[in-house]
Amino acid sequence: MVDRVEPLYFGIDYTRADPNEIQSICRSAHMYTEQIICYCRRIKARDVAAAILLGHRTPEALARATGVRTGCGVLCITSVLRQLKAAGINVEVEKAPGWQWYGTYISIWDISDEIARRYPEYYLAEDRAAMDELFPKDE
Amino acid sequence: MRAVELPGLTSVMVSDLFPDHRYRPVSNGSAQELCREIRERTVLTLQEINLEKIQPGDSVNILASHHGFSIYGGDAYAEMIRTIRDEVERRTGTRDIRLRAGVGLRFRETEEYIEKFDLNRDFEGKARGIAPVDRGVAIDTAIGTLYGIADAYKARWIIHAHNNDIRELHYHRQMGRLFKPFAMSYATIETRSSYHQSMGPRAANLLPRMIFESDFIQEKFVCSCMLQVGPAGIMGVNASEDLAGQDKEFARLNLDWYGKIVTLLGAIESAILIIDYPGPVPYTTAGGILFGNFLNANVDEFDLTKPFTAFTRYTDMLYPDVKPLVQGKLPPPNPAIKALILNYCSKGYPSTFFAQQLPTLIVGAQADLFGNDEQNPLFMDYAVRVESLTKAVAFARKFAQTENVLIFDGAVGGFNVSQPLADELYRLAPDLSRHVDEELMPLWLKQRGIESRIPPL
Repeated sequence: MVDRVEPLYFGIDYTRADPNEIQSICRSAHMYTEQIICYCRRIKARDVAAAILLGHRTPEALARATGVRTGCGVLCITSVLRQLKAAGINVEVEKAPGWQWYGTYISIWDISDEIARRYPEYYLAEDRAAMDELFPKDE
Repeated sequence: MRAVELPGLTSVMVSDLFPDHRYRPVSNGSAQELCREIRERTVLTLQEINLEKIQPGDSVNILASHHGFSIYGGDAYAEMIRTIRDEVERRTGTRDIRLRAGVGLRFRETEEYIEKFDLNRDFEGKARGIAPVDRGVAIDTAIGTLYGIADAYKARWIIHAHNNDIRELHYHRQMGRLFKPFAMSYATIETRSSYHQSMGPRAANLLPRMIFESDFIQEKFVCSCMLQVGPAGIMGVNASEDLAGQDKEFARLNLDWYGKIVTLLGAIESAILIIDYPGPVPYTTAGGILFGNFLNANVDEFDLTKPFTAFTRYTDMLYPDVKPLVQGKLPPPNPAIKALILNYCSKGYPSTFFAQQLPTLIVGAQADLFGNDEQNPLFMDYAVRVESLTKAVAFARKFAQTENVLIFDGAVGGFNVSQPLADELYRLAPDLSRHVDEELMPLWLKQRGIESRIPPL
């Protein structure tokens, strides 16, 4: 690898955004404001929520602003999409250049009771309860 | 310096710890002998598979995953894949047979394996790695649209070439283990992220099942062919047209092959762990067991009533720093790990959680590697660099207050350990073996709807 001539800094000052609105986006996305959503860069939910509120409204814009998805580029995409959705941004319309993401995902909160009954071996109802107990509820 | 060169070490074999463990590896000979054995067994098991639907000229994608190439050197997995290809051609007349090999978070990994095992020669130039950031294909499932990697499925037929290695027990929990690549190495980033961030630690395993059961996959699926692996080595090859039935049988086998050794490791009260293996931190291995298994061994991961283990990506989310955001609900990483020494391992897997939670020493150039890892830019904020393995072990002994040393160095069939730890393992094994047989195994089987266990000797 070759060192950059000038270092590139990622990161956003989340205090520039309204803390109540940050909390609202995170809660709607079933997240704590301080939880990690990008394991590589250790970016927190509040950083991404703040960046959305400050005008960064696509996964790529959020990556440039906060550093989210600039490590493995894989594991945290649904957390980013969940927060964009919670902020009322329809990401299915905006497709990434190239083929990286399609704006769709499945969450435990989308699984129907009928599916949970049909596949009891996957503990769907139990994990729904466990996730509701462990993570904030969308109220 | 390799960890195995440290003074005072000995080896313990899984077969000696559990003499009633009936299953023996297919070969203890050279790689060539192993490959001959694997080829024969692959041909034999494929004879049970109806390949008549494949017509001359039909395209066939053999789907593989990177993990298989890291199992006991990878020769067995590569030979199984070559043999599948050769048998499909011999029996059907088609020559348009491709290898599409998926990866985890190291996007060029299977390209390197393809080169290492010369698979492009075997596949006449049609072997390729596929990555989660490649173009996707929408797959309609019973729970909504999920995306697979388009190139994996761009063929008339697919053959799922995988293995039963216990690997990420903390993720699959031995539920639908054989289906996993359909939502992981054959899938795009959103499907994988749904699995790791948005479904729940057990429920996530529904996703690969849903993808597999889709019309899109079912119209292409010919069979699965599994490299059978266990703690003692390569155990065989098994092909089936019924992946659900095969998965249930492999759950039964895995509980039998791995249940006791995983539980025994969970009984260790203290150890210094040394990682010295060409793989990412939690995938470093010994005796068929991963460091990731040991990290979680303080929780019975086979017990499906336990929602959270110490480490999954769900728990990783809740550690913004050393302490978790929620109290009293998450089991800690195995408190038996008194020190973690990284002598040698790969970059390319987000591992900062381990350095945050465990006293971590990292040796020499390995620290430089992690200092430049885009997936671990904060790892060295929590780990301490030490200039030599010898110094790292001496320092760890002071604060860890234990003489137990356990090495994850790819040892086959057993572990390289310090003598005190060997003595402890032999002491614990008999009672623990009974505990698994009489109490844990019936519970594990019942939870999975499996009627009977493999009969003991």
